[in-house]
This record gives sequence, C-alpha cells and structure tokens, in this order.
Amino acid sequence: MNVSNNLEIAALYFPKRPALSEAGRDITYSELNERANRIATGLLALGVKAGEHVGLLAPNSADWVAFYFGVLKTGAVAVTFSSVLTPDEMTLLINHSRPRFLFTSQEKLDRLKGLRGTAGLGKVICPGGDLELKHLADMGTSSFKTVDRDRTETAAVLYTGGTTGTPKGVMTTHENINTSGHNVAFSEHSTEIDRALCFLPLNHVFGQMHIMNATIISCGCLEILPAFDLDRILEATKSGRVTKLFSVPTVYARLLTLPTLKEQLGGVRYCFSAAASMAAEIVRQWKDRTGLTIYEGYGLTESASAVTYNHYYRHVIGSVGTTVPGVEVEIRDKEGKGVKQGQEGEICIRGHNIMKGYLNNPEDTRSAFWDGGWFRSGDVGLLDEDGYLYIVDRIKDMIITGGENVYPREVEEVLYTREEIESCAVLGVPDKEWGERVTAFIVPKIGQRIVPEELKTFLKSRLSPFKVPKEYIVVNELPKSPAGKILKRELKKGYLERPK
Amino acid sequence: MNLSHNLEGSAFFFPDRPAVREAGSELTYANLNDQANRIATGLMKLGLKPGELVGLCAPNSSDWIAFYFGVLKAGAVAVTLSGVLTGDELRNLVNHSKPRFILTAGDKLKDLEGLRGSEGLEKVICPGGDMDLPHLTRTGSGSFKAIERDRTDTAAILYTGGTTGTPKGVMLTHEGISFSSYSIAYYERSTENDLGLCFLPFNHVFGQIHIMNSTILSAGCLELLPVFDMDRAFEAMEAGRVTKFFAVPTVYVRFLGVRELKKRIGRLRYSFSAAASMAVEIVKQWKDRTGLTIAESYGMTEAMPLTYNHYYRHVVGSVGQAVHGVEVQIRDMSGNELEQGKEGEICVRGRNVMTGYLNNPEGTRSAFWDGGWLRTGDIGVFDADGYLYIVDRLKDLIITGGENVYPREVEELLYARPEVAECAVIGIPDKEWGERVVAFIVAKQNSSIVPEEVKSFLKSRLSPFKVPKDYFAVSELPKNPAGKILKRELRKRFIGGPVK
Repeated sequence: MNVSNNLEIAALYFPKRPALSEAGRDITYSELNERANRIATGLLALGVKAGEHVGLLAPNSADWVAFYFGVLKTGAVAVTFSSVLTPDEMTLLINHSRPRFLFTSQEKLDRLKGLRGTAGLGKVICPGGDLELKHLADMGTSSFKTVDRDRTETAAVLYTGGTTGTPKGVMTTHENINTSGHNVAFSEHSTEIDRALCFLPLNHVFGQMHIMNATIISCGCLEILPAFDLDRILEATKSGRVTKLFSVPTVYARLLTLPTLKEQLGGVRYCFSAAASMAAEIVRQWKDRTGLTIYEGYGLTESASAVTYNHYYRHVIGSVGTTVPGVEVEIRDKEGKGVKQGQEGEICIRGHNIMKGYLNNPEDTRSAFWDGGWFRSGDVGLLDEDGYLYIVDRIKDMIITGGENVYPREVEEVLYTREEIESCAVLGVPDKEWGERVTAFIVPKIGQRIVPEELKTFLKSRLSPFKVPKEYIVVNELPKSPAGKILKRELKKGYLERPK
Repeated sequence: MNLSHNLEGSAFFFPDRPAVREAGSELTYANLNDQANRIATGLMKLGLKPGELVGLCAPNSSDWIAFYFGVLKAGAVAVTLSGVLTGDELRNLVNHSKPRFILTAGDKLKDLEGLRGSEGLEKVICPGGDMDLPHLTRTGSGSFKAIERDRTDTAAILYTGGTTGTPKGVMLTHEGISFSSYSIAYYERSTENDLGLCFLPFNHVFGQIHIMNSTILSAGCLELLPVFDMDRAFEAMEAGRVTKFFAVPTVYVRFLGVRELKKRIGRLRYSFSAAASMAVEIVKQWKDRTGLTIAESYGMTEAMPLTYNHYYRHVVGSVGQAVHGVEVQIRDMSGNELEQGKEGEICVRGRNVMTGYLNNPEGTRSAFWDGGWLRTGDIGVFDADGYLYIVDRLKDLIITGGENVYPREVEELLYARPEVAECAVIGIPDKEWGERVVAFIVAKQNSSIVPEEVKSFLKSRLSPFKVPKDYFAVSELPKNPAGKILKRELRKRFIGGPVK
C-alpha cells in the first residue's frame, strides 16, 4: 500500500484532466504523475532509501505536490514543515527529524547551511542550493512504479503543537492517510469534476489530508494558492475555477464583510470549515447570504483529519456531526473511564485513521493513548443522544476563575452574535484574586465601535456571572497560525508583556 | 462498533424514506428500525446474550432484514442459511453452528424438529413453530440502541462451498461487513435516492453484503423479490422502482433475449454483475442494447469485494482494480509472489477478509498464507495497469494429456456464437487423456447446436488440446440459488450416465 498509488490511479483514469491549477495554468494528472516520477527516480539516483526522511519546507505550489508524491513513491517519508517557521523553530525541527534531503525556498538557505553536517542533512534542493528541483527532475525518468510499503509504515510526518518541550512529529501511515482521504471524499460526494481551493498550508493536516489527498483520491483538481490572499481567492472563485471552498472560521468571518459575497463566489457548491471552532452565528449568516451551508468536521493532525462529519442531511449547526465510517469516538473522564451520554469529557478516538505515534518521542506517544488504541484528543466534548459530537473546548484553553471552569468558546459564541464584532478570542490571564481573570480580545467590524459596558450587560443577560469577561480589549487583528487558528498563547504573551 | 449502526443512522437521517418495498407494500426506515428493535428486545427477553448464534433460514423478505438487524442489535451473531437447503443439509449446518434460536418458514419445521433440545436449538420462530415472528415482536420494545461490539467480533456467518467435508461457515466481522458495504456504496455513488432491485438470496454474500447492507448504509430502498422472476423484475423496472440492477451473468443472458430492452428498464442507471465470470460478449451486447456498462467486481464470501471495475476506465473482460484499502497479490502454489503478468493464485489481505471458518481450525489454517493473506482458490493475472483478470477456479482447471485447460477461455469463445445462450465446459475422466474436455450448451430459442460447426469454429481459435471433444446440447444447466452454474452437478450427472 502506498498513498501515491492514488495519484497513479487518477493519472491512469483521467490522464488529461487537471490535477492542479496554479497561477491560471492547469497541470494534468499525467503531467503531475510524470513529474513525481522524475523526482522519485532523481531522489533514488541520489541514494534515498525506503523509510528515510525527506523534508519539505516551502509554501504551497505545484512543485510541492509533485515533490511530496515523488518522495512517497520511493517509499521514503515526507516530513512536511511549515514554511513560516522562525529560524530557531526550523533548526529545532530539522534536528529532531533529521531529513536526508530537503526541498525548500532560497531565503531559507543561509540558515540551513549550518545544519548540513550536524543534522545529517545531505542536500538542500532549491534555487542556489545544492541542486535545483529542475535539475533533480532532469536526473530522473518519467516512468516509474511506486515502491510498495506496508500499510503500517509512515508516509508523512507533520509537526503539531507548541514550541516548548520535545517536538511532536505526528507519524501518519499510508493506511491513515488513505482511510481519511477516502472518508472525506465519500462524505463530500467528491468527483473528478470538482475543483478545490487550497490556500491552507500543505504542511498542515487540513491542507495535506482533507484538501490535497482527498482531492487526488477523487481525481479532482486543486486550485493552489501559496498563502491566504483575499483578492486571489475571489479572483479564483469569480472566474468559476472553484467548486469547493475550504477555509477556517476567521476567513469566513472576513468574507462575510464583503457586500457582494454571493456574486463573488462563482461556481462554489460546497463550503467546509475546520481547524478551529466555528461560531454558529457565522454559519447562519453565511447561509443567509450565500444559500450555502458551511459543512464542518472534526479532526486533528493525529487523526489524519476526519473523525466526524456534519452531513447535509440533518445538518446540526453548532455540532461537528457524527463519526465517519470506521471511526469510533468515546467521551472519557480523566481516568480514562467512559462518561454517560450527554456528559462532558475528553474526546477519545479509535480507528485506522489514528497516527502510530510521535516521532522520537515515546513518552508523549505513551501518554497520548489509553489502552486499546484509544487516542486522547485533548479536546473536551460531548455526544448528544443522536450521536452528534459537540466540541466544548481545548482542555488547555479552559479558564479556572474563582474555582469555576469557563470554556472560552461558550463566551465567544455569544460575542459573535453581536453586530459590531468581526472576530474575538476569550482567554484567562493571571489574577491575584481569581486565579485567572476572563478577558476578551475583540476585532471590531470596519466602521463599528466597541462599548465594553454594553457588551458586559449583554453577556450578563446570557451567561453565569463568573463567565462574563472582566476586561474587553479592542485590537486590530488577532495573531493566527498559518492555518488560520487564533494563537491564544501569543495573545496572552502580548498582553502580559504589554507596556504598562 | 456494530453493523446495525448503519440501519440506525439511516433511520435517524431519513426516517420517512422507504427502506424496503415488497409485493406492493413499503416499509420506511423508521418502521424497519422499530421492527428490528422489537426483535432485538424480544430476543433478549428470551435470554439471548451477545456473542450467541441465531439462525435465519428463509427466503428474502423485509422480516428477514428486520430479524437480521434485530439479532445484530442484541450483539448476537446472525447465521444466515440458504432457504432452499435440503433437510439433510439444513440439519448438518444447524448441527455445525448450533444456533440458539432460528427464524424460518413453516415448511422447514419438520426438518428442524428433531434438533431441538439435543443440539441447543431452543426455539424455532415461524408460523406453527414455538412462536411466530409477530408474537416475538409484540414482546419487544420499539426503542432500543444497538449493543456495542468490538470491531473484530463476528457479526454474521455465511456458509459456502460444497456439501462434503466439514462445512465452511465464514465468519465476517462488524468491521469487515461495514468496510465492504462502504466500499461498494462509494464506488456505486449510492445515495438515499437509489432503488436497488434484490432477488439474490440474503444468505449469500452478494445479496447480503453487496446489495442489502450497502443499500441500508447509503439509505437507499431495496425492491425485494423473494426469488428471481423476470416478469416481476420488469414490472418493477417499468414502474420506475429500480435504479440499480444486480444480477449474475446467466440473468443478463436471459434479459438480452427480451425485445426492446432499453424501453423496459425504466430509470435504471447502474447495472452490476458478480458471483461468476462474465463473458465479454454479454457486456458488449448489454452496452449496445441499454447504453449501460455492466460494472463488475470480484469477491467471495471469504473476502467481500477485492476489486472493482470503474466506469472511469472500464476494462471489459477484467474485474477491475483492487478496492481502496485492499491488497491483492498473485502467488505461486508455494506462496511466493509472482511477477506482474504471470498467472497464479489470487491472494488478498484487508479488512474485507473473514477471520476464519467457524469450528474449523484446519480449514482456516489452510486458507491463509502467513501475514493474513487469504488464498482465494482462483487463478488470475494482473495487467501492467493493475487490472485483474480471472483466469479460472483452481479446482475447475482441466488437465488433459498433461496440458492445462482453463474452461473459461473456451466458454468465452462459445459465447461469441450466436446460437449459444449458455454453456459450461468441464473435464471428465478419460482413460487416454486423464481428463477429456467436454462442452454443455443451452441453445438460444429457435437455434440449434451443430457440434461439427462449433468444433471447427473453436479449432480455428484455440490450441487443439483446448477444443472440447464432446458437445452436449441441454435445455438448462444446473445452478445454485445465486445463479452460479454448478459444474460439480454436471460432472455428477455426466458420470451417472451421459446427458442427452
């Protein structure tokens, strides 16, 4: 079994159909497959062996996709790094995963030079590096058959989580990716005529599994953008090059500020959001404005994406849906015991989509699982009697104030119902009296004003008093990860280090 | 995990849509689920415990389906026996599996009576038996949730193969059946709007998994016929009650004998064949006459679909490529994998494969190579694109004068003759040749078979040792309830006295 068989099969079924579209140019499945073959055979000529690590550290591009499948075809493992890592983060992760070759962009070159010997890094592939991608491809041949791997072998390593402690490199197997990719394609009724917008970074599980791999499995086309760029997104949708829109809540909130939203979406038939909790209010407004539902799912890097999916039939706003085929979810307490239906607890997951562990990190791997292969997500959730999952919050985002638990998401949901708010984040900051003090950070809509007293009164009428933020801070924007997740730890750091 | 979650899901998502239609009456998903709940709770009141075996020995009906899911919901195992077993066969299989309860039809009562008590059979559920089904459902309650089972627990046991030796009761798990039903629904693009015609028996893998379970999973409707009946099949099609047609090659042959076929198939969008090798000629004629491709798949009770022949790039004569997540290899008789293009035994690994034969460790052991690779007993070959071709059953191979003859190759050519409706080629004992190749032929209406003509036709196309020495015109060929031609019966009849 090898994930790149999906590309080969798509190239066999639909050689002339577009696999990728980049900067207005289509690349067919047979072209993409040939490129991947050239890269694979080029890498083999350089001596890469099955099971070895090869890194990708670059923004989204057609080359990235071809390189990824080139690596997999040789039986090697693709280690996919974020292209916006700081130099220190980059050094840490490369030392941790020790890729033998690295595909990157020119501006990273200086920093990488130092890692050459110490981190076992053989060759850096980029303009001005040891060799260029074009050169590597020229060394290879266009016809090649993928090296077969066992279903339990690692296909890709994706880094997740914070920058403190031992890095968490999620080892995702060929079977993990196929299971999730297939579940996504089935749930979304994806076919070869679909065109999926992909501006979310391909190093992230959402971009790599949910968008890229599921699209390749269903033989559709990826409309690739190197990063989030509102003008380019709208240009692609308006021109009819997008049928499926994949995004994150903050981007949907931003798109909702456009006056002629519906007209600008062109042929979009399907919208999906993940990677962060979606406020029900945004889903309602989107439906009113565009007539389209925003579908949601729940997944993590460790689950290679899809755990649950909220279908068009009996779509329940506010829930992330029901489990996808073959995946099991249980809500458990801190001791690992299942709680009663309807009670909150940690979401635990089992299935063939669950990672085999964290790279070179046996301790975190051990503590991530309960016996029997149940992965601990670190998220608090509950199942209703129909089996719909509701995400309450991240365990680590929970605020404890005066001994009471506050889930920020609950407060954010209420804030999003206010006209004047574009986006917001609620978190706890250290407080002598309360332990933690509930604090709200708010980005107003253009031309709108935030009046803290009004907000406070509004929230008081809807929430228990201890949940109501004591402080309201107006900001121009919220710090976000490249995948669009609001970085609460950054927000907290900025707050604590602010000039008094 | 419990296979019956698929029914619960469809009843939840589409309570008012039809699940089953039979003889003009219709059962909604809510009704069917309610019925299954009553049966589950009724059986539990009788003392049924998870893991225990419960038999079904009756023709297709909505009661059959409700009972099947009732058994599964209770966490028990459904032992599905053919409704046309002889008294001896039935007693043999009941003795072998020892179900605690059995659902059957009144005419089986006599055969089962002696087995009560001594063989652990407690109650026979049928009109005139220990209780009838309406009585059982009255004791149960309509609301119930399926008992959770492990994914590797057995859900159903299906008997397969001959009547000699230890019976082969194939144990299929909750995960195995779910996985396969899901693969099928995905490939067939099945939705809640589909109507699947089912006249193939539910005790057989084709009827039970490919048609029934995958339709329930995708929330479609089953149009039931208790047995194959061409007039009733056309009546349902003409009334627009069929979008998916499932049949075996012999049925397609019969349909092709009908005039103005295209006008009579109504809303049919999909046709599928399995369970026996399909002659290329039939696929071509069907396409000419109806505009529809006959999609094919290759599977068996021990390993539900292994391959699927997509409309994407349908290769007539092949059974398609390996299903997602299923691995297929061609091996020699010592278990070594052969190079691509070589003929050998088809071996398979994946979640579609049985866990073993019930109470038959020896049969189980010899069915597998190390590492979970099931030996199918079929000879096949892969082309360069990964398309599988079935050469023949290993046990149907004829050895004549030291040469191997695969009957299927000869049959394919016979089907190209306009006067041939059906045929079977077998080897019969011969002093001189070891085995002698002989052909049994059913002529089309108003046609006749002239052995000399057929022989000279075959001689111009086949090596001389492959050409049958004898030709027997017969009015019909013996078949099992699933429509497979029974070559062992033919051999028996022949040896018992030449067929005229």
